[in-house]
Amino acid sequence: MKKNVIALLVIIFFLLSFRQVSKEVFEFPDLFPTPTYDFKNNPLDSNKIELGRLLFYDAILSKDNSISCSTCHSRFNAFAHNDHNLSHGINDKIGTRNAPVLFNLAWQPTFMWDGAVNHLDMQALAPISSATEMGEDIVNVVDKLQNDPFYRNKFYTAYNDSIVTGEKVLKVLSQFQLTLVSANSIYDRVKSGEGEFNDQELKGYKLFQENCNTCHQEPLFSTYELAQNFIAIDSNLNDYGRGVISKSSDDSLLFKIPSLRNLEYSFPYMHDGRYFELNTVLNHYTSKETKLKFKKEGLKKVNLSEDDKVDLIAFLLTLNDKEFVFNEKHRFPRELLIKWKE
Amino acid sequence: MRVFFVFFFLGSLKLTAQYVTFTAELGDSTTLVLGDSKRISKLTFYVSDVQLETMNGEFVEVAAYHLIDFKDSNSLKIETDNEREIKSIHFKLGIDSTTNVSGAYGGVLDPTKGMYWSWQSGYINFKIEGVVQREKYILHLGGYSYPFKSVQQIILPVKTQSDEFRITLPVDEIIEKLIPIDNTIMSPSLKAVEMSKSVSSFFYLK
Repeated sequence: MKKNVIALLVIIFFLLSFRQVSKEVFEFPDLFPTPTYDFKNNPLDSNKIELGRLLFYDAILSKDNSISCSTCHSRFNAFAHNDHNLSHGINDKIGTRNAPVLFNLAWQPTFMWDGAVNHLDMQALAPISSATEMGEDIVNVVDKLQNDPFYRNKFYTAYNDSIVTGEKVLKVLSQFQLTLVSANSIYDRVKSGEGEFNDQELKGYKLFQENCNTCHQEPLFSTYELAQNFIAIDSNLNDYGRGVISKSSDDSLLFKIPSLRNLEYSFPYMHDGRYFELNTVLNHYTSKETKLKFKKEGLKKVNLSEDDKVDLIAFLLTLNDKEFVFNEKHRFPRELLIKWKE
Repeated sequence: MRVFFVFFFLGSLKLTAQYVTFTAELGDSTTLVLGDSKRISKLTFYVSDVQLETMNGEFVEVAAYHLIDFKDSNSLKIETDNEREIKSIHFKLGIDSTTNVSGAYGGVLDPTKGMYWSWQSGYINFKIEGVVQREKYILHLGGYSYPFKSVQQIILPVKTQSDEFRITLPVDEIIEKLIPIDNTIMSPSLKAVEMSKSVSSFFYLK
């Protein structure tokens, strides 16, 4: 009898531990604040993360199977769109905004350049439905996945149920994207006592703290709030940012503050990708016109000499996270190639 | 002149049968005084936090979230185990703000239900689409944050106890009073808030 009980306990323990294998803990450095994403509603699980990665790289999300998330969010560019000022979609349509980088998403209260999306789970609906991006509908996405034995299988593995729903699709996409944590730059190593800045980087760091830290706050290098960048409106795009969503003139030309991490990989810059070099961005913020606008808004002016700019850029480049952009866990899943061949 | 009733019975509440039924009686065309056609092609909306207030002031929850689609007769019925006499019926037209900012949900709140905006977050609380006087109208009412918060609390007093309480939405009121103000609303706005208030005021217990 006793033996049976022990055997039963062993089996239960074995089964429990088997289930726990797929559970993942969201890891982030001590330096970072508490994430805003509520993991209780979508606990990380390796099978779900893997399914999210497959979907992220699969053009099945788009109307004509031509565009995947990774088309405009490529790993080597810190999940932005290298060299393209505006993002491309189905039938070579061009959007109105620069595809933003994807990392440290668990700390961001809103998404999209205008902050129109209030939760990471709901973000994917925007590019899926946009006529200039994927041109698809979440209903069709769910149908396509449901009719695909490969994905039915994957959903079964992830959810113990092969029924595909919009909720599941969105949540697994969140899961993969939540794992895109960038926290291994020189800056991070300095902060954790494993490295040091050189003199120029240190000078640059001080300049950063004096001039940039209000909006691009450490350690995420953005408050992820909405603010004016004071670049002149592009008359072809006529993008008024947040103002279009809130229909309030107070919010006109407000855009989400981007992080300064991984700048080397994620050019061009600004919401419409108009600047291809960091120097051009700094020239914009230190220009006479911008200074006047800052003054008008009661903001502290950015004062940088030419030498200062060089030092500041030296510091900004310490925010590049090479380990992140070359992280094999985030790469294109080879399983998709096999699937496509079949 | 043909007389046509465009009634939408949001609900009929059967106390003895212990469930809430929703029935729809809706024509697809009718005749205006001017003789033009009017048509409803879509009428879907969320009701949430549906509660019955008993005579001693207790509240019985009937449904947390429910999606009414007049084309789906199954959606017009909510089960309840209440058997007591009730004083009033409470419900919200639309989805509360907290739910709107808390990520993806399944069931009736799944974004595949067609009641979620894509380019900006938020549930569409109320949808009516169709044609009136050969012109298309499309009202998508929603918005979860100030000043565009459009969810509405509705309290309908029960005058006579009955086996069946029908919460009715007279669609004609919308077509005659709201469509002339604006026949195309597809994003949160002050006008959408005003229209949501109006729509919620049209509900009554039949």
